[in-house]
Amino acid sequence: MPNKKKIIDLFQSKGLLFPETEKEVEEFELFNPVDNENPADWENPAQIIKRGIQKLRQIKSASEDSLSEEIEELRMVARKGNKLPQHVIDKMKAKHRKDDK
Amino acid sequence: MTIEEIEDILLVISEKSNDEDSAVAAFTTLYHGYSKFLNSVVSRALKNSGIYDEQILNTVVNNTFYKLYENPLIFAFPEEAVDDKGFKAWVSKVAKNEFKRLLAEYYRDTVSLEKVGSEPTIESDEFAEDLSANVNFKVLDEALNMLSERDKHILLTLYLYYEEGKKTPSNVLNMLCKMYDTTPVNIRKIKERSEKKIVEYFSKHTQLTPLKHAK
Repeated sequence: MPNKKKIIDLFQSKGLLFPETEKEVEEFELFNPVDNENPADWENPAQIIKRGIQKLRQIKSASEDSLSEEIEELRMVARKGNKLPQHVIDKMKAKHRKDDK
Repeated sequence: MTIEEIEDILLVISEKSNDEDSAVAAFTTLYHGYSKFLNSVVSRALKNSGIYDEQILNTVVNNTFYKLYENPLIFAFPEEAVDDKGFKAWVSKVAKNEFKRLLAEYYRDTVSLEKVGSEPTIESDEFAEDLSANVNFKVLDEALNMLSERDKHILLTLYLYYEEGKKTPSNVLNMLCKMYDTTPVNIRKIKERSEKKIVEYFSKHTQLTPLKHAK
C-alpha cells in the first residue's frame, strides 16, 4: 500500500497556504515573484511603530463583493426600465451553474 | 539578506530602549528586505480564501512587523541554516497566527456566537504520496479556482485552523455558519464536496491517478 498524503499537506507543501518551512518558502517563491508588490508603508516603515497593533474594521467576502456588483447592475437596468443586457443574463446563469455544481 | 545581516538587525532593534534611531533605521532595512515577500504571502492567502481586501492585508502585515519590532529576539536561525528562507518561513508563520488572532478578535466583537454541539474532527482527504510530486503550484491554483468563492473560502478557512487529530474550533465553525447562513453539517459537506472536486481535477490534469479518495 503506498504512503498517503492529505490534501491539506499538498496545499501546504506547495506554498499555497502560509508557507511555514524553508522548502515551502522555496515552492511559494517559484510561482509568486514579489517585485510587483507594493507594501503600504514602503515609503515610511516607521509609521508601523507609531501606529502599533491594529484591529480589523470590516471583513467582506469576495462573494459579497460580486453580489453587490450584480445588485448594482440590476438596479441600473431597473432604473432605466430596460431589458436585462445579455452579459448580465450570462453572468447570472454562470453563477447559478457554478453554485449548483 | 544574509544570516549575519538579519541577526545584526534584530540585535540593533532589541536595543531600542538605548538607541531608538538606530533601531528604527534597522527596522526600516528589515521592512524593505521582507515586506514584499510578506505582502505576497498574505495577499495570496486572502485571495485564496475569498476575503481579500487591502485593509485586511495591511493590518496583518502591519501587526506582523510591529510584533517583530517589539520582540526581535524571539527568532533565531538554526545552526544548519544556509540562507534567509528560515527567517521568511518564520515571518510567514507569525503572519498566519496574527491573521487567525485578528479573525477571532473580529468575530468575537461583531458576531454573537452560539454554542455549537461537539463537532467531530474535520479531516482532510488523502492521496497516494507519489501524486504530490506531479501536482505543482499551478495545478493546485487552478483546482482551487474551479470552486465557487464560498466553497473556496470555507475550505481554506478550515485548512487555516487544521491541526491533525483536533476538532475545528467551534468559533471558526460558527463564524462560517454565520457568514454563509448555514449549519456545521453543511459546512462539512461543502468541504468534502470541494476536496472531491479537487481530487477529480488532479486525476484529469496530472499523469498519475489518485489510488483512492477516502477519508
